[in-house]
Amino acid sequence: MQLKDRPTRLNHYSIKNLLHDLDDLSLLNQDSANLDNKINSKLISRPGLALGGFFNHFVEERVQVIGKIEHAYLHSIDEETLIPSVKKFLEKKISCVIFSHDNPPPSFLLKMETPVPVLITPTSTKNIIRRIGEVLEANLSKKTSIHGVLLEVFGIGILLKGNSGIGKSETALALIERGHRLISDDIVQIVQREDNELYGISSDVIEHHMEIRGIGIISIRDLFGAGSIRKVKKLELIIELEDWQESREYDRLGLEKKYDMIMGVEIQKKLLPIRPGRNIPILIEIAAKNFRLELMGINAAKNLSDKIDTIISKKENENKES
Amino acid sequence: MKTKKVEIKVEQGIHARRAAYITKISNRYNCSIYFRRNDLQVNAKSIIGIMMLALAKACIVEVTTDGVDEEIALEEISQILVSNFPNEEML
Repeated sequence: MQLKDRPTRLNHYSIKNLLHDLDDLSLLNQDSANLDNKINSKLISRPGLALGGFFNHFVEERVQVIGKIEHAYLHSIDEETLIPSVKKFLEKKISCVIFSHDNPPPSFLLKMETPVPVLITPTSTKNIIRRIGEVLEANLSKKTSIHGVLLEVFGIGILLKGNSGIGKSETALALIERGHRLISDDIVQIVQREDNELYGISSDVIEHHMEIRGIGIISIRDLFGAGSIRKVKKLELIIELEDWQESREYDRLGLEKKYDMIMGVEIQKKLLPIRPGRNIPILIEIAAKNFRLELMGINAAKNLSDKIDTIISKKENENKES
Repeated sequence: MKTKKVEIKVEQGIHARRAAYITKISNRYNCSIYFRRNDLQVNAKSIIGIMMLALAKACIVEVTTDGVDEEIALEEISQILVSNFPNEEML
């Protein structure tokens, strides 16, 4: 049973939260607005055509931003033609409408006493869209938590997994001692940004603390300095530690890649068997460097395999000729 | 697998020493024990995990146990979360 990696539903993020997070937004229809409206989409809509009465493909769940163009349109058309389409627009399941550049909405819009929050900002359209995008990205992304240690080794975000007691924390300590960085020990919070990128974040409560059995709680930042910790890191490689099992076939070539799925994102995984005499921190450093080489397009296993293939075919030809 | 929602009733919440106590008790059981609050699920056998939740009084936490002794483990762990410790000085 996979209990540890249960992804969670999208978080709830309301207009109240948005007003709290972006201080340059202010509410115009205090009395009628429903601030508990949820924002369910990370994307933003410029509703120009909808205000003109064209609602095909109108994405109502998005935050609606009225920029200079929409504002100019609202003030250039006579109210009789405008009111029906604005009414129809506000009756859609819109989370909120934001007027940029401090351009006020037409007075009839506020008189409609709509429950849709009508917001205004002095910020330019371009900047308010960017800022809302950032806030929504951070709050609406899929999240999960994973048991393991997240480290940055030679710039690669590596998640160390394995049963408790296998020595993840000790291995992490040895790596930090060698100049690598800790993001989070024991529980790693994972956030999905974009479609195929996962980021590990350290907990606000625990931060850079670790527990070492027999010693207790230690602070990595205070023991190893500011360079030994990091708040966020992209997860690129998973290394699973396990006790060496004689019956199990371990990867000898490294030609085939194995992956773990986390929230639908594939992350490359290496299974590292533990046995007396194996220096795990050094093996992890090598795995990180090798991963970097592969990113640069240099694959040692493939290069050697290709070289052997060439020699073999050359010999075959020589044998045929002789 | 057994799951139960428990409301923390301990006055000062689950502070460091209590977290250590919960870890100690959890480790006596063979089954796996998890705490879940909002989008964070942690292993109750790890002190860092429990401290990460920073559980205050009136927080609701979902306790999940899975294994041979899941029933009795769920019972004892939930008990620790709802009652003030009888022998506070022992912590």
